[in-house]
Amino acid sequence: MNEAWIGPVVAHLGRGLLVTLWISLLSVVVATVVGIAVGSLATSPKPALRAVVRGYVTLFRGIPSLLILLCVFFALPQIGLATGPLTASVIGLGLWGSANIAEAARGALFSISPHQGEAARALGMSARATLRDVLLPQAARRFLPPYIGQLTVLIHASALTSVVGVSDILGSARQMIERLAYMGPDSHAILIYGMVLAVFFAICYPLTLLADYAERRLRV
Amino acid sequence: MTAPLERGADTILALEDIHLSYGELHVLRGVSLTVRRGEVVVLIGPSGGGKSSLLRTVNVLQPITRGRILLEGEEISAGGVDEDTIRQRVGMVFQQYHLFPHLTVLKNLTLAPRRVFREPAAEAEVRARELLARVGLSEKAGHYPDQLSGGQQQRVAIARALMMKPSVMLFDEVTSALDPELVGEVLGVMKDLAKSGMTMLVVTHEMGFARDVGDKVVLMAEGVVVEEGPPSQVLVDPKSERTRQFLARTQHA
Repeated sequence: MNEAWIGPVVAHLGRGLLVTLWISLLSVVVATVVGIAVGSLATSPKPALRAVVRGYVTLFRGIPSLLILLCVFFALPQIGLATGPLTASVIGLGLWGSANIAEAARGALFSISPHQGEAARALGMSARATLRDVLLPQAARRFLPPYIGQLTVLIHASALTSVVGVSDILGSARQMIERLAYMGPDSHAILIYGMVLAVFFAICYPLTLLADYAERRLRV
Repeated sequence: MTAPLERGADTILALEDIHLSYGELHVLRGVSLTVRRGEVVVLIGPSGGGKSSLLRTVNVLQPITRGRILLEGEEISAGGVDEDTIRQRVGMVFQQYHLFPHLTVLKNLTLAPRRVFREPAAEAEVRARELLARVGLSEKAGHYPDQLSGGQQQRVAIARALMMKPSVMLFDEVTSALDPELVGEVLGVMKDLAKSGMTMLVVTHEMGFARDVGDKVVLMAEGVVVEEGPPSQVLVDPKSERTRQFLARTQHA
């Protein structure tokens, strides 16, 4: 078996990995910002606002992430927003991830007993100090483990973006396998997908450990 | 019940004809009550009689429907009062302690004075350690609430309220959630507090505490004051049939 293919393939996968990391990072930022904002709105005293939040979360959690990606990719140009595969992927993954993160944020906020706020107010603390020093620190501790879990899921989902033409690590891998197939009868699929698998595992396993650690450290 | 209102300088708390409704539910139906400086007033009566609701109105956690509440001569039940400032002067201890679980005992005590009075951390800690010593928990300063027994948590909650140097302390059935063998340590702290001259308004089912520590016992039922007077009279020789019924039931319980 000729080993000359390994160098170019690894270089190509490396470029794909950078794209994967970039997409993951951007969609994590979008999902986190939108998710925490939407999740916090779920505590609003206005029923209409809470209904909107519930609708948003239910809708996006109820659709396969791949379908959201395809919809964003093909629908946005229809309404005059010309987006490349990368932007469409970040928007799609960000929306999908934000619904899950919103649910985690909502759950964390609601898990704090209303008596905690009352006890702080009874001591004469302002609403702002109560939120900052009593409610948010407790909510953050409960939010962190599911949040880190969602990050793993988002990174996994970034592998779907090759479907709309992004040359992420999985897309790059498939291109390499197809090119190598023209050059000889040997299939390199197992080896190359194996590399991709190892890369995803190397990124996500530490996050899983971190989530477990955060869960154990949870003192609330 | 429209008892004449004492307005002396020693009146810490005056409730005048307090009404409170939640929709159709008329929880307080005209309660008047006076608490003087250094006095321990004990509220007793059947559950649902409005005792806890009354405490919550004093701490402006619950706005009233009608009536007036005067704290040291100043009306606190009107609109536009600064609720935070009032609550700093009214300490409250809850049945379920409600300590902050993410903070150590010491930080539970220092958080509010540091945020509200901008008290320097070092000074707040000195006062906190003094108060922890007073409630017998010096060695627990670095512990988290979930490492303490219910009785210890409740003593921390009392110390936390005292950190704000309140004019009056409200106790809302503070021993009701405790295992029987832990009730004594909390009542002991409250007795010491009463002896030190703290003005206290106490909702409790502990008749022994009412008898031994109370200067005045007030029986509330169905949202009104049924009877009030010194413990020796209300608990031993009640004038009202309703009081007799309640006492008979608690003694058989």
